[in-house]
Amino acid sequence: MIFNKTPQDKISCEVLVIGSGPGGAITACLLAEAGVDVLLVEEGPFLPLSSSKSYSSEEMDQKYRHGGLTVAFGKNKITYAEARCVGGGSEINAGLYHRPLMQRIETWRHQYKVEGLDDAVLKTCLEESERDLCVSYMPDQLTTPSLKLKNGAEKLGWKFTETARCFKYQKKTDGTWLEQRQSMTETFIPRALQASCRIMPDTKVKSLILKGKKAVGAIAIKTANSIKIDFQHVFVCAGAVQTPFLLRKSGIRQNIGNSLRIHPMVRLAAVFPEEINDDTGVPAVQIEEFKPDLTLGCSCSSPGHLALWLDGTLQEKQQRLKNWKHMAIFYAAITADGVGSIRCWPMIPEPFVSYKLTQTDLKRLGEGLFRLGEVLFASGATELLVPVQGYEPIKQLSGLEGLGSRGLPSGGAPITAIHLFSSCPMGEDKSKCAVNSFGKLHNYDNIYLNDASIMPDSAGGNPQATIMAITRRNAKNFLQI
Amino acid sequence: MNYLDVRSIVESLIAEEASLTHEFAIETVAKATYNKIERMPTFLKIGMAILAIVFNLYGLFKVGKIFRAQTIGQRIRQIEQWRHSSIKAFREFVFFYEKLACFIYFSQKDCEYDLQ
Repeated sequence: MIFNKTPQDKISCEVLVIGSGPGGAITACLLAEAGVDVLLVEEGPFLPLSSSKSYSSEEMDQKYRHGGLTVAFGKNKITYAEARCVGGGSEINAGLYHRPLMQRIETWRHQYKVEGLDDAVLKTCLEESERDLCVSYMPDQLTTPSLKLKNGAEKLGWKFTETARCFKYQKKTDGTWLEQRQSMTETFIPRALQASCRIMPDTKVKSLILKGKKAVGAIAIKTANSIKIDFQHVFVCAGAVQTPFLLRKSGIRQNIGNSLRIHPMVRLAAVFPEEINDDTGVPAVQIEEFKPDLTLGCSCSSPGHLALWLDGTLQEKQQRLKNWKHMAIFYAAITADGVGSIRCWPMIPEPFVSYKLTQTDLKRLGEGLFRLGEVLFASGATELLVPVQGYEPIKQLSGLEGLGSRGLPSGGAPITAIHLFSSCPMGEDKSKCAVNSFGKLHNYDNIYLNDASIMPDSAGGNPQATIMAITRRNAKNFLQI
Repeated sequence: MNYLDVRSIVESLIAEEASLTHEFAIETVAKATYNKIERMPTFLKIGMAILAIVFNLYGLFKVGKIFRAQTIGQRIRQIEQWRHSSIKAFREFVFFYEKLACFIYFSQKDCEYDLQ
């Protein structure tokens, strides 16, 4: 059942799930399929995948928090992407699927004392996700920007991979392929509804009502009306920023919102003599030679996105973009040493997010641009447009040596992040962990977190696969209690 | 910020040359830019609102008129002055509008003929 009209002032359920991204959707679905009375509340709208073109300005207006204008403050401001719709990040991301690096999981066990997460358990959960989401490789040829990365990596002898994606592929009668993103609204949300889960979109939970060591209810707002939600257990799955924000607003602060981690990214535009960009398809090749510290890949390269990464006035960009089919955007993403925080300020309705990049992070980002230069010139690029202050278009690799050796100048280049996690880490070490090894909030009886916020640290790549495996494991553990 | 202020900035950024004075483009981009600014988080909105006041006062001080009351030539000059200002916040103000307006403008299907 989907609530679209304002319900009565009070609503009851056995389990309240807050947030419908991968964590919340999987939690709600598995619990509902096990016969639990679940209410899934989502702040954003319930929109089909087809409501807007991927990566378009319209999509940002419809499905991104603040229309895409979300910033982590600090000496280097970092623009990050946060979804606000049923299905969460799975509705707006590229659907890339990366299993975690097992040595990173081993680190979690040691440094955070995460229990019950041995390789066999994780592998089972990963395999179940892969089956449910039809994780597979593109059956057709890779996009040209992907082929450029692959070609450059082969020439340099670098390790690369074609990343699997959460997409279903069907061959059409004309021989081409129909691809369908397996986001939460295409997979776990319909299953949850089928299992009688109630979903309430456009509803923001303002705070939890606490009584001692228990949460006894929640106050939510839907179309300016206040609703009290009663429950026996609550899963907070609102994401790495909104989960700690809600908890801190509700008075829960121990190890909450103090350890935000991200994968900072820098981008550049590369120009090739031949046409490489038809603004279709998702680039699926990533260079893994420098993992886990550094990953190189390609981004959406529509004219609008290219304009974001070019310097100069609109007129100068317009001249450049006449050649847009010869250009594509490539990124360097790092595993950062820096840490961020999420805080509530009085009278301000949104969280204050801050992040501090270290000198090592800036060095890695600079090295990332240098490595991008290496592989792109090797694959035939004639010019690189680097959005770093003071850098003219680069026509040979020596132009990037300064960045490679000295790193990115502080405040000198736009930095973005699409992976946010670890703001409420899991583990049995109560000095640094917010929740136990299965997502139960330390010192509380019935509050669980089950989203990217509980990942103790980077899993070594795109975190979506890891998040979904852990949330599945935690939901199954809850059902066994 | 009010819509007229946003529109005047967008118009000055887009319509620097005669070839780009497409009224539909200015109106479309201005409305989309204004909508995005209205949806900004409070922390960013406060900062932008303060800078917008300073931006208008700057115009009053320099040419005796607030920004949106200036001629297109005067507005373009003020934007250039802020673009190259030694004050980081001034540069970032222009940078923000330029990036946002450019993203929206070049995302418009109708602008495709400009890129041929």
